[in-house]
Amino acid sequence: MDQTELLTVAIGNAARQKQSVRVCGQGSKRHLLPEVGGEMVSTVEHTGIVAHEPEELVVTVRAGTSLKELKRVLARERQILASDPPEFSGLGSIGGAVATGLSGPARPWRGSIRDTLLGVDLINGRGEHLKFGGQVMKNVAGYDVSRLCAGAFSSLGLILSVSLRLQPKPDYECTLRYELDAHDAINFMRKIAQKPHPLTGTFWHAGQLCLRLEGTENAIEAAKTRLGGELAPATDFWESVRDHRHPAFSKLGAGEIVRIVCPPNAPAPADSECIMEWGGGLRWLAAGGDIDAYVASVGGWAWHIGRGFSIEAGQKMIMARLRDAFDPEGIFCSPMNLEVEDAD
Amino acid sequence: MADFPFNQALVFELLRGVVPAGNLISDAEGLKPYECDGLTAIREQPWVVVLPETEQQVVSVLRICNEYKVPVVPRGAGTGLSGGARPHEIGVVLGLSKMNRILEIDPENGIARLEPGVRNLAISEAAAEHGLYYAPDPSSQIACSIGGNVAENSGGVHCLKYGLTVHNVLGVRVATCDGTVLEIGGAWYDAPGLDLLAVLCGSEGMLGIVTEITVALLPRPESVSVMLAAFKDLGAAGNAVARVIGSGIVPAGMEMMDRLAVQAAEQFARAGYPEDAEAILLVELDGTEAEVADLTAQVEREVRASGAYHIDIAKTTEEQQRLWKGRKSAFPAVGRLAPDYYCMDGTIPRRELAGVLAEIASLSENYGLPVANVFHAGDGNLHPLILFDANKPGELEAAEQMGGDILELCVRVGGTVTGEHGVGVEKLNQMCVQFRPAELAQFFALKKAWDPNEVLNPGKGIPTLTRCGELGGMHVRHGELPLPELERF
Repeated sequence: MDQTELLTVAIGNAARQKQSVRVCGQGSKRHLLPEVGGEMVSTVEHTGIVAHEPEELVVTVRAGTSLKELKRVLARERQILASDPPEFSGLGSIGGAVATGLSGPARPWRGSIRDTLLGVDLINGRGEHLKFGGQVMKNVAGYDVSRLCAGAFSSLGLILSVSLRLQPKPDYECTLRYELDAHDAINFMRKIAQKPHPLTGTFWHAGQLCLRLEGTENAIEAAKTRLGGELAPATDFWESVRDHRHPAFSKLGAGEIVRIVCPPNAPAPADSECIMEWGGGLRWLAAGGDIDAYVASVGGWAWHIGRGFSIEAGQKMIMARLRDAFDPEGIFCSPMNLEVEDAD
Repeated sequence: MADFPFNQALVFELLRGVVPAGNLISDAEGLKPYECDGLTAIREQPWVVVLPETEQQVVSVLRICNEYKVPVVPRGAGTGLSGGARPHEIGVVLGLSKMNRILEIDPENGIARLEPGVRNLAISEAAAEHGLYYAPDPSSQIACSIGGNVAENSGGVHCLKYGLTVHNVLGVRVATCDGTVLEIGGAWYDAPGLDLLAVLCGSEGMLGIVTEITVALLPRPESVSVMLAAFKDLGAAGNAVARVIGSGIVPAGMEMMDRLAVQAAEQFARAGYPEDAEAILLVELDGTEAEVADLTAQVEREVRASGAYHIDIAKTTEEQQRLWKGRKSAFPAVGRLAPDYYCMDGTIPRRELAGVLAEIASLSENYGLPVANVFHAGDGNLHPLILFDANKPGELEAAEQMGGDILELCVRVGGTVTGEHGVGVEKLNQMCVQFRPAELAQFFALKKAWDPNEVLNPGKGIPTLTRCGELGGMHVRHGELPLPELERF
């Protein structure tokens, strides 16, 4: 159902009354950052695919549309969302996927959701309905506000709809398994990353490395021969990794989990349960030990799930000013903390 | 004489104190090469040119200019096609050409760290020994710099599959107007917080000065094939593009040329293009050997089914280079057909290709000016070349007016006024057609968040609301600017 008018009026009222609001989709990623206040404005009823022309490889979709529904429609035309955003607890909307900016296991090879974002319709903090970007692949007219909205956790406004570049679904997929310790797994992943293999996912945990290959039939057969390993049975393994249903994630413990993005060849942390994805560039760890020291030594950044991540002060200052440029009265309560603390 | 709202002598002395002797240019002869970029029709003599050699020098120049509110026009290799580096008469041109060191090639993490003045092609040359390359390949890649590529979000023939600059840059060090240096991203994917990197890409030097860039390097494809498909009907060629992509193939590159462009290119380059074709497609496929074999067979089926009457598949490097040679020399070849040409850069949804081409043909007839179409068909980025003779009274104006009509047509069918050349000063008027006042106001607010004193590249990229108002709101005619003899790709 098209709720553009309703949402525009609601945000317009909040802007006039200087009332705090928080934008919410299905709430499936609420556990990632601290809860915030403000009156909830839900996008879940604002659903529907506005345009999907398969030969354009582009879809325009309202924010509340569920990822499941969108993926189902795309699958009919053998197309996929290249970034394969997670569906925690089997839920999630496309608006939430863009607002949180998270990508699935194929991120290094197929790009992030921000990479595939071509346009957004946004209501800013003044209650204005604005359009940026469009449905075309190449567009350098004006600043790239569309991509700025990806991963912005609704700090710039309410995303009404998005246009995304799509990817054809590869004909064949297979998963290869190897018994390798963390050190050897990192070396192996870096070695194969330097060759043009049809790789679209890696997952390492507890001495086992899995590779996903996708492409044409002959390409997959040829790659299997070259890469060796043991052929794993076809299951929903990669979806379970994407959605954190894979048992490895519960093995990290009941406590806080930390998501680390780092240079792919960074050594694995010593004495710590660890999951590695993205050819080594993404790590999941149980909190505890000196994670900050580890990240400082290898480079990259850490996201303490449920608590947040730190942003360098200079960048945070620009981000806070950008937020003010879109939302001068500060009506959007975003779980992403852009408050600039006073220096001690 | 220009009126300087700041103490000229003082600012000059301050600038002289921060860069090595010889890197501050103020004599008329020395300033000459900086009067324009690739948009040579628009010229302005800057007040001074400063050529820093280090990030610290960039920072010092920015601090001085910000304090005294001196306009700063950043400049890479000066190959831009929209006048983004046009100087300001009371401003400083901040040339980054001396910062041209490759700082690191890290094959294990698949990255290169570069200073902004490094040439695009030099990155791939340096990475070649590791079997890696940098994917975005604008036609000017032999000369253009990576800093300029970030500023323009440059594309290239292969961006259909491998993306634009924004998809291939992992991190930057950027100096803001007050001299703060931010280190955004790095040798890893994504950075925390708002995506500053995305908004810097394509910001045309209006938000900050990039002093270091980390780019992703990709493994060289194992195998490449190039296919030429010729059609007797322009619409059929357009439909072939939709059919190939709709069938689930994303070619590395997919270029199209119409009859006039084909004939000009063939006579110029002898690439083996059939001169009786109404249109040709060039399709490049890459991947592993097995993959390329599969895809080539599939593409051949699709283009045949779309009505291709002649297909030539080049497997050897020599044959492939021959087929590409015609496309690559299409602009100079078309340039021989008339004294002047004017190149447009609109992008449209691919489904509109056949209709837009038909409408361009009818505009061509109405204006009495021939048009050759050369374009990146896979991503819908059109480069219609309007042929004219500036010495014939009225022809330049007609070409400009027709160009404006074409860009409006692109916007009308859901496209954009610029796919890859940028707005600069050239397309400010057309921006008024594409964006509404509230969106333009939002762009200005975004700019002020980075640059409160508006010293960085003032007057570029985003038209003022006043300018759009004076143009009469939605309808823009007369490109305003004289644009003959532009070399465009």
